[in-house]
Amino acid sequence: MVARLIQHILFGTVTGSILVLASLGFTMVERLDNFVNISHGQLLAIGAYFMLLFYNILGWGFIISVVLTVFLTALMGLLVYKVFFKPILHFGTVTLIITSAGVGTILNGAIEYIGGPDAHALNLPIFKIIKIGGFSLISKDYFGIIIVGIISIVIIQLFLQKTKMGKAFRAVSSNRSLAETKGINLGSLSTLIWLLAGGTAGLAGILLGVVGSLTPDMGWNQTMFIMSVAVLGGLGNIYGIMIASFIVGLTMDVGILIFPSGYKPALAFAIIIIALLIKPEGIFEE
Amino acid sequence: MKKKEILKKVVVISLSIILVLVIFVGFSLAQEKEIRIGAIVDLSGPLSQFGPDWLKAGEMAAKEINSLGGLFGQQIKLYVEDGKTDVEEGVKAAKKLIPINKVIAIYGPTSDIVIGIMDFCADNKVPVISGVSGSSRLDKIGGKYQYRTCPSDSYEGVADAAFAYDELGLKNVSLITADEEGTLSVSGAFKETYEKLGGKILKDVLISPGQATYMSSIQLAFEPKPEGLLLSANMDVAATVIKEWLRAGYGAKIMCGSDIGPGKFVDLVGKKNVEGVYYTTIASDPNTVSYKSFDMKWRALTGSEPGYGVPNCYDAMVLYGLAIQAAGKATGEGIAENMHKVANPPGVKVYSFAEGKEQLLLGNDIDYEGASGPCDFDEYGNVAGGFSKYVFDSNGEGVLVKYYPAGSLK
Repeated sequence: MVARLIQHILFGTVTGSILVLASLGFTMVERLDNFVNISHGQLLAIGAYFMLLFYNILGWGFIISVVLTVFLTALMGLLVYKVFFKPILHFGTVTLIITSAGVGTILNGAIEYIGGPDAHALNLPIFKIIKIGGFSLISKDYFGIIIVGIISIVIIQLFLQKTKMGKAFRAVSSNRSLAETKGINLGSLSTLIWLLAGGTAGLAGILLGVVGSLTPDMGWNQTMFIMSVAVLGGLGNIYGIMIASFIVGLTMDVGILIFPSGYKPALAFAIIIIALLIKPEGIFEE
Repeated sequence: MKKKEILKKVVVISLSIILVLVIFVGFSLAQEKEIRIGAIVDLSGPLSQFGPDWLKAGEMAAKEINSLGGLFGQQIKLYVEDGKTDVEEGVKAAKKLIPINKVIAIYGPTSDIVIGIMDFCADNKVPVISGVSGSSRLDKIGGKYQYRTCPSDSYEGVADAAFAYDELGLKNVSLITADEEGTLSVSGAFKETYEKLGGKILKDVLISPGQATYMSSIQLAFEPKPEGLLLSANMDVAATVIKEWLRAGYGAKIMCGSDIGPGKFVDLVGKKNVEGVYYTTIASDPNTVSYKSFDMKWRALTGSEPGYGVPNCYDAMVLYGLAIQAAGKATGEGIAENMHKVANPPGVKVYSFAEGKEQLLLGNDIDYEGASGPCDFDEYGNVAGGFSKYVFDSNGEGVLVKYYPAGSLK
């Protein structure tokens, strides 16, 4: 029973690691520009398809493909911001949300047009599950996903705590007007945050490609989970998101030991509903 | 000068009105000369591996009908919409095809879409026929405005169960089923039959498509260490599950449903990884006159053998042609009233549209025997059909293991 529980906790941790990367950019943008970017999930899909292009179609090495994918998805994130969102920032939250839904649809259509309607796979080698003392754990590549998730959290933490830009971001998040009067350059901060949002989404897209198939709708599929994590973590709360991602992952993958497996996605939403009934501002609201 | 200008304007306006009227009348006359049939086929989404061929089969049949002079001098014209393997898109397509394009019948949708549109179609007296809607939910509904030329998933589940128990000798299995209409139908029928045969279902795991990973669900299915696994899921979900199953080294024999096959699915999973995986297809008897003739024409057109559901789709369109010919008018009601008459006995057995049309013109009743099989509809518009079980070899090609002819499965 303990071995079974440990294995499901590891499964949940893998899911949580992907969710952390998928949700970080979404939350940072929400924190900076105060709007819910519904098109964020499409950046994950763009990342996955860039990886498909470099690794599968062009046959480049894994590491170089990952680096290029993260870099180009970061640029895509910035491009989306500059073209679609920056010009309408002053119109307010509702306009931005509606626009982001439209941008999501455009990006989704572009992915389907370029990548085709069919599913694709990165065709990475299949690594066997690791067994210790007769207990099955998870495979090497899945451990890799957890490590990538943890390293990303550490890097974001260091960025927020130790760098000038990180501190500026925290200042703008707390009080935008005050931060502006203190001379923080919002333009370059926005550029950096959107690059980070795109980059982390690109990395999450790669991880999705490692574990599953690539489909044009993969971005929309993840949007639902990203928003759940964001709501649970307290909209715009970076640390809350990190914890909420693992709570959602573990709830789904450990929860099915008790509840029927068909309810796995529903478990994620059930915990959010319960949490919000108790604490409507999100359990980790700052 | 003023008078001249007014006269000029009157002439221009009059000419414009005449031009518009000519175009309108011209279009109306052209419309009267065509019989509009709407096609809702999955050209994108998880079933896009098959959709283009399903459409091509219908187009091929329509072209044959048209080349034989059409129906009362009118040509069949297909209005094609992409069902996108999504019920919502299918409903949108039907709501465009019927009121806007004024089609008299709909061809080709898959199970979810058929279920989503059948009431709307029946209310508008527009028949729906499909060669690929296997859902067992259609077993006891439909019959006047809804038909299918493929066998029910209930039979597919029965074939899978018989194959697992009798041919592979599996005494216990686990099930992993994607939470979708068609895949649930197959699993449900499998479970019932397999248990009746004496097999034991160790774990029945339901998964919701669209998740990043299915590891925890797969682990639940493997826990009781089954001898086999029935994986009833669409292509991209099945690809992910199989890779995760192999990653875990679970080892049991994997049987899939009819949503997978050689080609795209093998690209997703990898040739090496699909070796030994079983899958199902609805199958025709290759020795019938109709099949041989169809097979030859299809190969000439595409250069490949007919794939999953292709003969069934071809028969669906031929039956529309014969029902319209029998009705003597191109209306949905006419088709609905004559579909059983042209497809079922009694009547002169015919093996093509040409033969059927000839017999109908002679005033004889006909019984169409299609490329996919006898095409005899029961009261709910269902047919009995055959199934084949294949296994992937090391090259990612399917090797026939067992053929279950139509009517052999109870």
